[in-house]
Amino acid sequence: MLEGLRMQRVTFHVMTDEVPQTALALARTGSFSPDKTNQEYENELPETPATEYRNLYQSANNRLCKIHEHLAVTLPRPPLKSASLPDLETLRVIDQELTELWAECSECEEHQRELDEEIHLIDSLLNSLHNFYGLEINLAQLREQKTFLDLQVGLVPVENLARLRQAAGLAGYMVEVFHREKHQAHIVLAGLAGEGKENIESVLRAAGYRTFPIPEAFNDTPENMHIELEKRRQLLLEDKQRHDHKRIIRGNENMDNLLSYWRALKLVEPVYLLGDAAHSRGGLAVIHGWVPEAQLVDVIEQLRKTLARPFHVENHPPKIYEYASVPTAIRYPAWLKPFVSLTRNYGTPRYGEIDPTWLFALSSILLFGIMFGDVGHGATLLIAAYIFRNVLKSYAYLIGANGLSSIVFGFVYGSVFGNEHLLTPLWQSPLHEPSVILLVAIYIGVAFIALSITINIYNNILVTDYHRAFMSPGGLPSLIAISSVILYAISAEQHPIFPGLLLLASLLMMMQYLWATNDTSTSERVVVVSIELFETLLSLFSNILSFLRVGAFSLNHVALMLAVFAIAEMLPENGYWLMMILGNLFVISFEAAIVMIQVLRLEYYEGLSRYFHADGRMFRPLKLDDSEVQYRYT
Amino acid sequence: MQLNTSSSYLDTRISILNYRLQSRDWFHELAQNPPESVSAISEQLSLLHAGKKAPELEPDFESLILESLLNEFKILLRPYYGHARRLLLQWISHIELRNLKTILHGALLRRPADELRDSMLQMGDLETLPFQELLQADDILEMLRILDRTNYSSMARQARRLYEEHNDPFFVNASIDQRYLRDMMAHMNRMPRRDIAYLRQLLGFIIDRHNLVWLMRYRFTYDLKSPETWYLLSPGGYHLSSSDIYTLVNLSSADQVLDRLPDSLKSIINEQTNLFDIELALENAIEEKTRELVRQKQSIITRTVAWLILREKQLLRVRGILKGQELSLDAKTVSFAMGLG
Repeated sequence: MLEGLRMQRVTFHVMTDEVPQTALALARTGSFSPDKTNQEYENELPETPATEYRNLYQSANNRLCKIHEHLAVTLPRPPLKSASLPDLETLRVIDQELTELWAECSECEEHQRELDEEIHLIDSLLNSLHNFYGLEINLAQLREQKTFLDLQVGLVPVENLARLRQAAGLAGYMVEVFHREKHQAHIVLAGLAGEGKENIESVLRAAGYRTFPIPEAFNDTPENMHIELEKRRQLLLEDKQRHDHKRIIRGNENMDNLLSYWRALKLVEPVYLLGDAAHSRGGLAVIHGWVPEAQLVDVIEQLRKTLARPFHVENHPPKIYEYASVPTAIRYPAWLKPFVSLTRNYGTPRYGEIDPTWLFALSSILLFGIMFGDVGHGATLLIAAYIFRNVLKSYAYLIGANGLSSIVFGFVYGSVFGNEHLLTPLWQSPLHEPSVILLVAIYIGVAFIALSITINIYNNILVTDYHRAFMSPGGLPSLIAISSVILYAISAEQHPIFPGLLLLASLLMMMQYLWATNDTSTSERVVVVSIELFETLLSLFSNILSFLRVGAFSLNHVALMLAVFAIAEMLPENGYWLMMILGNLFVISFEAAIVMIQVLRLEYYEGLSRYFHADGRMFRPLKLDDSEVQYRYT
Repeated sequence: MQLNTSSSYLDTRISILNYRLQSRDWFHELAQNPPESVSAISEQLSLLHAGKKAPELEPDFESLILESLLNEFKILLRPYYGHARRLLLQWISHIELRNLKTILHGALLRRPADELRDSMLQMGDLETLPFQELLQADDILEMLRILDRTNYSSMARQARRLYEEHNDPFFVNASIDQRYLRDMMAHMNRMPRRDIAYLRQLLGFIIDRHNLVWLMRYRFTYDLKSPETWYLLSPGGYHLSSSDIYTLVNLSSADQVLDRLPDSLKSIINEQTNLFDIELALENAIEEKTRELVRQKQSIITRTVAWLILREKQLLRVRGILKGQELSLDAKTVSFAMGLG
């Protein structure tokens, strides 16, 4: 539960031509994670098996993704359990067919882009219609070729305008800007026809110039010209719609084909995903990976059923030096999922390392209840979590659990919506004796940090880093230092010297570790070790004091509700209830959120940072996911 | 613009980093006596690799120098914000543009995606282009549609038009370089006046090289008309003003162009007539100017850009020397190719 599933490092020795079938069979078990970092056999087996399968998969899958995006079709979810692996020839045909289909789609996209560009051009023309009339030339003549004069009207990117103007001057042309938009300038170009025209054309192309389509009715009234341009725009939009319609028809027509391509590629995907976990030479291949110990027999059985020829399996539990590359597989109950995402924000546990999720979940629920103990507010959170469970999804458990904890501590404090007279407290109200609740908060801090250090010691022992476990400032010495202070606090009169000796011993242990792990000059070491030692002690005790906030927020809750009551009582009866409702809503929403932030701060900073290495990697097995159609660029 | 405290920090930082720069004599010596191992040279150049020291490095020098340069760039970028930061980011984008050129060339010449991927430089979090998507494009039109969604759309369109017009990938490179320099100048012009004065010297020398070399190529190798040549060159040269270029593009031979150059530029070119020699002479002048600007302390942003330019140039020079050694070229040829005389 706390350490995840035990893993086995496995190497499958198979015939090279059976690598695709092996990959598919392994994916069907959903229990094999390829180990792409393993370099064993790399020299003896330098080749990559099933290269053509992988290349064809990559090529076809990329096109399928693009086609799917273009056609925007939703495919049904076909079962893949009984489907067999397509052979190379089938894959080649699929790749070819997808290439052809994508060529059609790409052409359609290009046409859509051209239409969009033209519509944009018309829009620009409509915008600048009035400015055309400001020009003192007859623009209707622009459509006609002239013998001596070359006149052009068009658009050019603003950034190219200055350069174009100078280059046009060299070609004997003048440029007149008659309308300017954010990115484009509307210009009239005028120059002598002949050699100058040849010179200007190459410049215009380089400058990204586009000629305006001058409508037939350009010399007509502005209203008619506007109508003409709108008609053209409408025609273009209709053309665009026709293309959209064609795209939908193409999508529907190709639905079956796309589905069969998807099925085939999905079956080949595990071969591709093996990546560097597979090596081969001639007819022999090996595949490295990790399998949960409990599933190993099933995995081998699946291979036995699938492969026609003999194969060999090597397996062993992970060695200590392999721990860094072993994936972590942990199963959680549904209610723990929101807490899993909170701990995963921090990182993934190393293989074998204690998974902090359970501790995180239980302690955060407990801390929330202590800081926000109120039967009424807790019940409101619980009910809200239930009502909005579909919106909140798994986070409904988090809110619900915190609400429940709040109810429990509400009984402990005897508080219902801030009212402390309706219930007899199981213990006492925080405000009744504030120093006691603050002292309790310190005890909680000591227990929490001591537990964190103990887990850190365990995690270091697990990877045989005994020096770190027993001598580092984050290990046993800190535990001894805390114990010495507790001992002094409770029995200073009976044992005045012993706690001091314990503290001294812990300091010496820390010094030894810091000295040994610092390889600078002696004088620098003295300075570094002294400062780090001071910093360690300071942070250890300040971190414990940091738990005072647990008590402070429980006091804060009572104080806030007292303020709500005080304001409400100053108002007339209607105002009283309105204030009570608004005040409680404020406390439930804002204060609960602040308390949650404080809880997370304590969990992350005082807890996880002490013992959670968070540098593991998740167990991601090869699998044939039938539940949804997924597309992925490879 | 940066705060005074950051300026002091950057001044000190660059002064510390200066020891990583080597003299021309050091490169001469290196070309004469190539190193025994990549590790040895990496240590001399203080090439860093994720905090490890040089001897632990893998021998892939290309990726090593890029990673080192990017690390150093990020260190220097950190204290900057506003226009100065954008100027530095524009400078580093030349690496991404190199990748873009590779992809555009690859698409035009129909090279396979895997081959292109291998020849691209990995920029990590400084990368802004969707290279993965670009590499999967089936043709140039699809690639342009992808580029249309990026900041480089106009640059790519111009490159495409030039290629369609002249059918020569050289034009693709030249137009991308021109856009890059133009954008550099635009960022420069947003800086405080004192910085502009120094930056203009640095970028002006670089633009002069680009303009003179490409003017000669456009006009006399590719036979472009003078207006188009003018359009494809960049404004903002140090020796060659816009009016100088205006005059030069209208001349009808390379000799006339060289004859009508401003005296300051003539003295740099030193009567060379071969385009390769002219380019080398201009490169050396840029190097001299950059060294001078790294030493000055009036404009810290110019000092930063100059240091980065010089550092990159030196790393590329070492790579060239090692490549020459790999190809068993003699020291004289290597020195010449590396612009060491």
